[in-house]
Amino acid sequence: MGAFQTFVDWFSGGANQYHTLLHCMNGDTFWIATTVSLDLLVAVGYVIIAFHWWQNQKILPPGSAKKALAGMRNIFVFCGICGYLFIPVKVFWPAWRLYDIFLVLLVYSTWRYALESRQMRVIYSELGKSSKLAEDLRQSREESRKKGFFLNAVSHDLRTPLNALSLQAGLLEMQITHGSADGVREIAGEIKANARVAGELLDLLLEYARINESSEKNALREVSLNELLTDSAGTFHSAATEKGLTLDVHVPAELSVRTDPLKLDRILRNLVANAIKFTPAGGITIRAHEAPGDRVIIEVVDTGIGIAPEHHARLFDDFFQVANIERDRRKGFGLGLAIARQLARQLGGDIACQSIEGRGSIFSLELPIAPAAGDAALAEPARSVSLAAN
Amino acid sequence: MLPSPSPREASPSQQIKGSVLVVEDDPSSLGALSSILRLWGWDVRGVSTIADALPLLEKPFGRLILDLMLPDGDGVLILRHIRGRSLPTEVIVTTGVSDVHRLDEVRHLSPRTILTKPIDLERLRTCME
Repeated sequence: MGAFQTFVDWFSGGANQYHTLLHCMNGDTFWIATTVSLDLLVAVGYVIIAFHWWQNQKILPPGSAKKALAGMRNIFVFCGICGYLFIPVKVFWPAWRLYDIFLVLLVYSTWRYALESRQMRVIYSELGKSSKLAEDLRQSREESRKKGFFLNAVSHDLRTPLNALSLQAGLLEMQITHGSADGVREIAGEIKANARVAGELLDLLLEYARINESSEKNALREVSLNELLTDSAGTFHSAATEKGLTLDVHVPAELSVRTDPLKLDRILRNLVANAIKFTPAGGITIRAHEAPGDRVIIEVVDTGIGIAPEHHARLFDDFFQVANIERDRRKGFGLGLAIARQLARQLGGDIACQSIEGRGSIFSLELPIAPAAGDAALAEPARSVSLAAN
Repeated sequence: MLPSPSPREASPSQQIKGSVLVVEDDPSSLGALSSILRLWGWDVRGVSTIADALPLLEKPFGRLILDLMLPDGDGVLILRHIRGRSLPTEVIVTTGVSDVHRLDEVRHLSPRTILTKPIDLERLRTCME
């Protein structure tokens, strides 16, 4: 007993008895009790957190993330023990020299956990991967939704003329069976018209698929805009005249661009065909001018029915017309503008639309005067052109 | 597009089987379907919008052939109108839509059948009987 007392006395500082916390607080039991109680409350909180951590970590499958989280748990528990659980001990702790032994253990644990804390990058990395996966999943769902919409649209718009074709053929068969020649010529005409509509849709779909999948480079060459626009418009003169519309081209003779003329022609044909479709009276003007930044702007201006403001944002979406319940299905499938925009972007440009319902629309195609060969990069969106200013 | 064939009347010797309302916005399909139904002996009314169809339903029709995608809205509205008023009209839905969720929604309104376009005339005839 004497040896033990000597041992304790030595660790307590011997003759220079080091004070316990009890001594420090001058035996004021109320404050000591308050301090220890608060401290224990914090410690209990730590234990509850640690318990939940332990419970929840079980659902994580073994792996680097689980190991890293276990490291974090150790650090957390260690800090809790150091910071809080030792305080009540220290209240009555008489052997301060012995405390150095614990300090050695603390140093060992601190450094061990400090080195282990490098593993926390695994957690950040795993969490980063999860975020990326979530984003990928969202994109994949959006893509899937678009594909579903596209398929539905194709299904619907292709089935409509096929249905008419099938019904007209059935009617023709019945007429022949009944030995009646009533309306046979009209039925044959309807069959031809519906076959043509189905064929046009197939052509559009094939072109759309080709544009979306194609990685073919632009066949760039110097093109006189005046010549190209006049040629493109020329093919629509009879259609415009048939509807009593004017079709004018105003392009400076010296204006030229280095671009793929076939793609540019296709864009213009889409825009002009659209303008004729939706213009009941008045006319269509095609004009072009240079713009700052070595760009040209080609505008197709019509005096047509215009486009309601709520449709502007989605005008260039694939099959926009299908979702538009007010559309006249015979006037198109809503792929023409989507195709035109894709082509414009392949040429390093873009298309914008400015329209006032009931007054008309301006479709502005902005192109670089000379893009890099094979450039299919997306360009800055075209600037809007004020209808009033034109 | 060429004009639809003029609707033909059921032959005088043929007894009228009943009245049918056809709601279809494609004029070519509407014209052909109406003519076929008349040849089968039905008294046919054809319209292309919901706005035109709803007032006609005030008088009883034995059958309704209903397209889903109409210029002024969803054809399901007409089906709901019929179910809401417990009208005795048998509804045959025709659609080019292939979305299964959408078709499930229509099925819940208990049409007599849903025919996918292009319509099989034999199936239509069976459904009409």
